[in-house]
Order: sequence, then structure tokens, then C-alpha cells
Amino acid sequence: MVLRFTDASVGYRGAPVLTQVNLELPAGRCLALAGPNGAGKSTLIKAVLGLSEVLGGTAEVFGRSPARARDLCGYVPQVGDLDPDFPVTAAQVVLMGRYRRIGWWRPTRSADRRAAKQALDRVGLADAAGRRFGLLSGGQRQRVLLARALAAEPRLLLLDEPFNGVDVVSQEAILAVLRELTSAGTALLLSTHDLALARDVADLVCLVNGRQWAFGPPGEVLTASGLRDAYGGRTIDLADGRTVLVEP
Amino acid sequence: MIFTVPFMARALAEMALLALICGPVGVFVFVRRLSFVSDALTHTVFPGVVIGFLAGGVEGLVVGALVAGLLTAVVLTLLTRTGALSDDASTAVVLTAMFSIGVVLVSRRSSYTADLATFLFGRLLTVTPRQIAETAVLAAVILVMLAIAARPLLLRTFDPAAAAAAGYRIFWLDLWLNVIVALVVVAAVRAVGTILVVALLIIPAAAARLITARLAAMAAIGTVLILAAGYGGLWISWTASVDHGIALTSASAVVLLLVVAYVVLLPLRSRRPSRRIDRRSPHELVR
Repeated sequence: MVLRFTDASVGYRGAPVLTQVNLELPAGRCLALAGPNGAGKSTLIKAVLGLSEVLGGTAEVFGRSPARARDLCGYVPQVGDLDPDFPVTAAQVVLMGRYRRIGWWRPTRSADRRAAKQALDRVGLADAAGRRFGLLSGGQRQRVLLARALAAEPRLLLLDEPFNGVDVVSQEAILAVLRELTSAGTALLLSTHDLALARDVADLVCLVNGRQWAFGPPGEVLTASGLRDAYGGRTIDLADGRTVLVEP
Repeated sequence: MIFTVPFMARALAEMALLALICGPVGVFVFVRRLSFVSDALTHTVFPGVVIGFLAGGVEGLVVGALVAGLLTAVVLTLLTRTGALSDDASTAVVLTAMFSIGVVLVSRRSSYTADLATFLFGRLLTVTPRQIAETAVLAAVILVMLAIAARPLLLRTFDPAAAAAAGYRIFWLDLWLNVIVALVVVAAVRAVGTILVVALLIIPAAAARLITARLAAMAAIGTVLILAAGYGGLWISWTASVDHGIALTSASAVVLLLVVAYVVLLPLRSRRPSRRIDRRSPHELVR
């Protein structure tokens, strides 16, 4: 099992942000963390990386404690957090994914440059290698960050809101890569507040808001009653049986 | 040829060594937005310089600066880590506290004004061969430290979350860079003084950024700018004082030339990015 959380509480400096987390993620599957803003999705992703605290219960990543499994994990942060003025090219950003392998002393090897180039090619941006990162569109930047994570060849890929502010073309490109990854056996954990997307992309959905409300296949979790619980009753049932969420 | 005069040649050699370290380190100071931190370091090294001078004369100066610089690097890293104060506020507190200690110490001496001027603005023209050797050793240490951690420092600066996720300890990387900056200040303090050293760290990288977005090119251009300003500044101060009887300290001439370079390059910035964006329509940006 890639991920196994049992009755886990996660948070920062002793204060829990998300409680009662019970989930399992096998290899080659995609788990979507769904919930409103501030629900604790990012905190859970950070917990998998060992960057937030597990305050209760147990959390295992590849059967180890999270901090010891970092070498097997790739992380794609939210693109909006990065400074667009920073003087780096797309190729340099992707190469950052190889830094751990290169180590502190050694110079960059041609194998590393090749891996970076292949990763950029995989997200469809081979021709943007020499362009400045900040001059790319939001969607292209997100794909560069995905390529950077791919360059590290992770067995678990964590993506924090990978479709926020991303155009349709980039979204399709990202989705295609994610499908390739899962069929090659890579496990995915992505956070999203887009429930329709969670339903389409994920094999498993974990519905969270302060605590875990539901976990299972999308069809079982993303139900009207499940959403009402997690979102605090802000749902409207339509005549045709569909449910509309009203986020504050 | 004025650089055949031994003390002018030594001054130029010292400037060349400083150019070698300030070019690359300045790039990290620039992208990490540490301008204010390096300014603080120059001020906090000041009391160390004074104490070192009082205890051991000119020879004690570097030791005093080294102790004060390393101490500040640790204190600044700790203060900004706990988040108890914002980066700016904690830096300003450390800066002013240490600087006033330095002023109090130096004001107890009878040669107060002359000493203060030396510590603040340096003495580029009285650089000794021993000082050059010391600067060379410091420069080697700084460049090795930078080479070891250049990649992690770059990742930490660009994307701290990804650096932490990759297993890098942010605190130690921050301390590492602060120590590098402190060592640069120590290396430069006798030649250009505690006030002007910050100019060598900040202006060249900022000027280079105006004409390139490549990090390696920024470091190279920064180094060349300091070299050129060092050569030109020494020449101007020589010519002004020897040929025209105008007293012009060489370190200030060097810094003024750097500022002139920045101002000259400034118009290039407003032209370049707009031209690049204009070439692409909004539709091309969405791919």
C-alpha cells in the first residue's frame, strides 16, 4: 500500500487542522482530496511529505514514516505561490527535480539533463525549454512544475490544486500525463475543490472539511448527502436528481 | 600608467578579488531579496570591527568582523525562522542595536572621527599584501561554500515548499547563505568599509538583471561591472587628487561608478520585457 492513514490527525504546532483521516491508496491509483477552501487538503498533502505533524493515529507512506519516504514522492505545488519575476528558464526549473539525485558536490550530468528534457517533452513543452518560467502562461507553468516532479521519477505524486487557473489545453495535457502515470503504476494524490473533476479523474475520493467525511470510489462518496455533510448543508437538490453545491 | 604604482596595483588586486565573490554572491542576495539583510550585516559587523581594532589593532579587525558577522548570521536566521517578528522588523532591530554599540565603542577614542571614517568607508589605497592574501583565502572559502550549495539555495529561493518537500532543511540553507554574505562583508570591510560594501553586493546584480534573465550571466556581468568600476574608480580618484587636487576617496568613486552603470542600464529594462510580450498575442500564451 502506498498510503495508509489510520485515525490520523494532522496539523501544525500541536493544533489539528484535519482529524479522523482513514484512507488507503494502492499503487497505480488516483486519490482526489475534495473539500472547500481551508478544509485541510494542503495540510494532508504536507503530512504525506512529513512537513506537517501527525498528531494522532498513524500515517504510513510506503510502509515508512512520511519523512523517510520523501525520496519516493514528487510534489507539485500551487503555481500561484511562485514569483514570476524569478530569472530561471523552464528547463532550469525542471532540472531542479533532479537536484536530490545530483547531490551537493557533483556537477550536473548529461543523464540529468536528458531526464529533464524528456520530462518537459512529456508535458508537451519541449520547445519552451529556453523560455523564462515567468513569461509562460499559468497552465504552461503548471505543466513545467509537473515536469519537474516527473524528472525525479516518483512512485507517489502529490499535486496541490493542479487545475487552479489552468486553461483547457493545459488541463488536457496534465490529465493525459496523469493517466499515463497511473497506468505505469505511479500513485497520485491530488487536492481539488472541483468536484466534477474529482469524479472524472480519481479512482478514490476523500471528502474532507476539518475532518474526513467520506472515503471511497467517487460514486459512493460524491452523493448529495455526503456533500451536505462535508459542506455544512450548503447544497441544493435539483429536480433532475443532481445536486448543486453552494460555496460561501 | 598609474597601476604600476605599487599601492594602486594592490588596490586593484583587492578590487578584483572582491569582484570575483561579490558577482556570484550578489545574484543570490538579489533573487533571495536579502538586500536589507546584507545591509544589516554590514552594520552589525561594525561593532565587531571596532572591538577587534581596540583589542588587536589593524590585525584584530578581521577577527572582530568575522565573529560579529557569523554571530549576526545565526541571530538573523533564528529571528526570521521563529516568525515572532516579520523579517524586516527583526532585521531592523538587530541592525540598529549593533550599529549603536559600535558607535558608542568608537566614540570613546580620542581619534574618534578619523577612526569612524576608516571603519565606515574603508581604506582601499592602504591595502597590504597580507590583506590581499587574507581576502584571497576568504574568497576561496566563499566560492567553495557557494558551489556546494548553489543548487539547493536556488531551489529554496525559487520554491521553498518544493525544497522542503525534497528533504532540504530550509533553516540550514538560510543560515548557509547568511554566513556566506557575512563572510563577503568581512572580506570587503577593510578595503571599502562597512557602509559601501553593501553597494558591491546589491548594485552589480541589480544592474545585471536589467539586461539579462540568466543567473550565470548575471553573476558574470556583476563581476565584470565591479572590475570595471574598480579600475575606473581608482583611476578617477587618482586623476582627481593628483592632477586636479580634488580629494576623492577611491572606494566612493568605485561605488559611484557602479551606481552610474545601474542608471545607464535602467532604460534597457523598460524596453525589453514589453517587446517580448508584444510579440505574442494572448491567444499564443494559452497553449
